[in-house]
Amino acid sequence: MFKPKNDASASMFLNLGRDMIAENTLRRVPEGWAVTLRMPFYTSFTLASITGAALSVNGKEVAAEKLLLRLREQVFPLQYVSTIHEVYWHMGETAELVALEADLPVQDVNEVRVQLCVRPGFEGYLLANPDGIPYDETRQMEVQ
Amino acid sequence: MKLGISIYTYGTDIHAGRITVEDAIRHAASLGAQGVELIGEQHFMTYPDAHAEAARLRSLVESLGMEVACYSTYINGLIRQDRRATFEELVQKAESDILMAKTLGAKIWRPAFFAAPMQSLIDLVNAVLSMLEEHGIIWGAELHAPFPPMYYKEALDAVNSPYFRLIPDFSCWAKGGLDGKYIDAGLDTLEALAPYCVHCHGKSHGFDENGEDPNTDYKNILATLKKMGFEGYVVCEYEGWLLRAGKPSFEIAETHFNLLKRYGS
Repeated sequence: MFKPKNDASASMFLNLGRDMIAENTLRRVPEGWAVTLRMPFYTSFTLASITGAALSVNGKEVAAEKLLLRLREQVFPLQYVSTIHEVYWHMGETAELVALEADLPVQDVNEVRVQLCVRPGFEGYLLANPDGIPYDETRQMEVQ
Repeated sequence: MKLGISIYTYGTDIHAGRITVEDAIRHAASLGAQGVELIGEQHFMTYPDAHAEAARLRSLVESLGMEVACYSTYINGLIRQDRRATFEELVQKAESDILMAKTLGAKIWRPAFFAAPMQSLIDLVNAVLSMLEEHGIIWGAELHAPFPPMYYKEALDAVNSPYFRLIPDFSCWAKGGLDGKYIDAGLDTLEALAPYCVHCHGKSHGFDENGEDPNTDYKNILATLKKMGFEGYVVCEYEGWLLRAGKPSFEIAETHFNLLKRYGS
């Protein structure tokens, strides 16, 4: 999904992707399926900082228009978060990435990949990460 | 000088949700810190207008015999995707942060601002200077590697106010440091900043088996600050958690604060 022009792998901020997947469970929710994420950057950021997101389960990627972010009981379509510059996702805080798709190839144990690209608001960091920081984590998850 | 701990030091566990900001504040007090530094965009779950939360955290800090030594924030130009922040929006953010510093009882406020060109910083400081004076809060520009120690001289001269001063970060005097990108400046360059220093960040990315920072000469940096007659805070600011998960932050904070006490008491 992400095609950074620079070598973003050199960014020290990428190391914090280790905390991005907060729980190793893929949960059934009324809208479809959900995973719990933790804000990956080293400071809080507004949702407008999210420049890309993707979720795949056992190799099947959920269509971008079917992804939602549920934060403090508010639901934001990922396609439109680029305009949400008033809402902060705080450090240490969890949110749900929700797939509006009932028929994912879910098994007892699943390979779940989450990608989240974050463009820092501080101009200085953008010099090293012009396309944002492409967090990309894969975990084995049981169904809950 | 006074010795404290930036709650930034506990980042690895706060970021992962293993401890709370309150846990970190209590731990800093247990180590004997005189003050703590709090960061708006890290330690407040209701940021940016977090006055009730700030009042509660201030109360906790003071109940433990400490004070909020410094309040740090970021004035970001790229909050929106469709355009850069306007000058008026930057001023509005600065004013909001100053009021938060006041609620916290912090006399020093560190807004990280990308000062390119330097005139943009000068204009922003001048726009809120009367507010800083009114509330008795000093804007501390953080002097951080890879920028050289005299980086803010033009702005300091242009603003020429005791309410616009410097927060030297030890990274400016680190040897090699992160990815070898840091400038190894001589400590005479720190001494030259004596009239401007109001607060210091004791930066570290790791410690050896003796609790020393192999990249940063704490002994001589702290001796230089004493020689300068520096009376503000030096706070631990451990940043190794950005590079690796590492040891639990309580252990790191204790090692780091012991290093400060060894040479700064």
